[in-house]
Amino acid sequence: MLTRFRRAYGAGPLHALLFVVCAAVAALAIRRWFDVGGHDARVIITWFVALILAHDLVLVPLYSLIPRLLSRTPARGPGPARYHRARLHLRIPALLSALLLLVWSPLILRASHGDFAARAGLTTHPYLARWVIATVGLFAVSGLVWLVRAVRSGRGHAPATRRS
Amino acid sequence: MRAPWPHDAPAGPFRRTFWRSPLRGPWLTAVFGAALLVTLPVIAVTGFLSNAAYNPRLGDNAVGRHLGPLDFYLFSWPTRPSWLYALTQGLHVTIGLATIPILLAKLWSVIPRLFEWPPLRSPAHAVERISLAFLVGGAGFEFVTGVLNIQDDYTFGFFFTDAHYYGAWVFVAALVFHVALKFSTMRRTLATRRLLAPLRDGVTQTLPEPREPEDSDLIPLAPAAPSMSRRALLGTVAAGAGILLIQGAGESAGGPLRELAFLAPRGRNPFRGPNGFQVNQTFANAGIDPGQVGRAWNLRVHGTRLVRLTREELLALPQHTYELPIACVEGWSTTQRWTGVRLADLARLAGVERPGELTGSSLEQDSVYAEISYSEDQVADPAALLALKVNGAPLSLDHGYPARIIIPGAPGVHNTKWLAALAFRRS
Repeated sequence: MLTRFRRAYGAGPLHALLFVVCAAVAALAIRRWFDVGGHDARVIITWFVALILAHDLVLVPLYSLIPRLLSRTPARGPGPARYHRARLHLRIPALLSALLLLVWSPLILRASHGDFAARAGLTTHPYLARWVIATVGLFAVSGLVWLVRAVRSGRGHAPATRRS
Repeated sequence: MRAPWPHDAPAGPFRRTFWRSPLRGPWLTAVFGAALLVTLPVIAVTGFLSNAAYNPRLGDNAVGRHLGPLDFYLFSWPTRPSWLYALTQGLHVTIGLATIPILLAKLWSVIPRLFEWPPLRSPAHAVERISLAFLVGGAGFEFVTGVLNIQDDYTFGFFFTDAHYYGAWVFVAALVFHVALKFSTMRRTLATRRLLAPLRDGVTQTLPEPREPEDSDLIPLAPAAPSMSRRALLGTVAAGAGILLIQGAGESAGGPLRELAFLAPRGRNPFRGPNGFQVNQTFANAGIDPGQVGRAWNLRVHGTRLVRLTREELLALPQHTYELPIACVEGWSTTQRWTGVRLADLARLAGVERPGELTGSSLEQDSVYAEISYSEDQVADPAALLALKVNGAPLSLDHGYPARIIIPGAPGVHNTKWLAALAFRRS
């Protein structure tokens, strides 16, 4: 009986039971959106589906494309380790700056300007400049660390960069 | 029965050779998964606690919701410690922000799984893949709506509270299923692949994870040369989490730390002077006719009899001063010195010796929080005030002049501003 279930379903009965329980909770929650307001529920479901599609159709290509574009190693130039290190010191602050832009874009790009001013009594005006300053700061710190490491490895304190 | 798709994976992302990053592998995914397994429960628990903090069973506090089976009610929200909601909601938003880069990295690490071949192996495999749609959709929905809401960006066009609350149930249901299926893999991977060893490798020593003792479809078969070590990747994710953590923590802790939250919505003081602290809803945006808060204003206090009190009469009653926080659902807090009349004293004036629940109404008409009900414990707390002054100065219009409620430990919007009436019930 159990073996037949396993063969037909592809996993044990606990797997199926847990799925039923979790699916019931999710279904109940989705139902509650409709109970609270039919119009809102349709917009909410649209957002929900749009975010799944955004992951599959935007984030995934972006995630797989960017490293492909970035990982082209030049045929000539300094040794791979030094090249990687220099590139890394540009890449990390760029990634962190992009993260800050992603999270705070309503303020930085002033998308929420009207509501923010009306509710908080503040303007979104300083945020673009603050983000630019943060970005410059990130690149500056990264560049400084790169410089220190380059000088130290140049003096032979950190032989790791001379390997390979 | 024959499967409706070819046995061999078609070209492109469905082939394991398509995915070339040497960093991807079960160890990396397990590390991100373990980090999320710490942060997501904190976010979920504090989120559900926030729902409890609104005392949704009282009056119209559930703002239009008819409570159903998912709206469980654990306890009446306490008033002590007075910073309780500042802490729980500060954690919710701050840990939520810090989790974003970890979540993005985790999603990146498992992309090849999206293109598994064959796409469906069995009914069990089918329900796993369906649950992943809800996991990704639920995570996206909760994080995106949360991040937009704390910045007053209402482009989503639906009422945030219900959407975020029931969305949390969808996400948690999918997450419980996912963790139940993957937990043993994560533990085994971290045990067999040694927790920190892969961090020792610099970029030139970075190789794909070993396919022994157990292969994984996350390990690339045709890896590209590494452009980054695992150490650098984890360091970048940790740095991103750290920067966002500081943004949230600065807004939540306030004081001199607020300056650190330079990109967060409440990272600075809007005004100068004793009323200079953060505002959730300005007077101008509340839609109140200025004439209503002028000389003619008086507070209606309903009990066994109706009492009307002008601001002068209220100021002539015994005054008490307490340091109490305003803790917003958006994650920011600010602690100030409030002076005013004890709610329990006002109940006695209206003929209610032992007050039970209280309902306070604002002059603000359009807000879903215009009428709030408070529990017996909240009314009985000696620091529960009808505040008339803050930091020694009369309340400004933006902070609720002529009078507002301040309840220790309650969510910010329950500190009703521009108060019109109080209705006490007997215990």
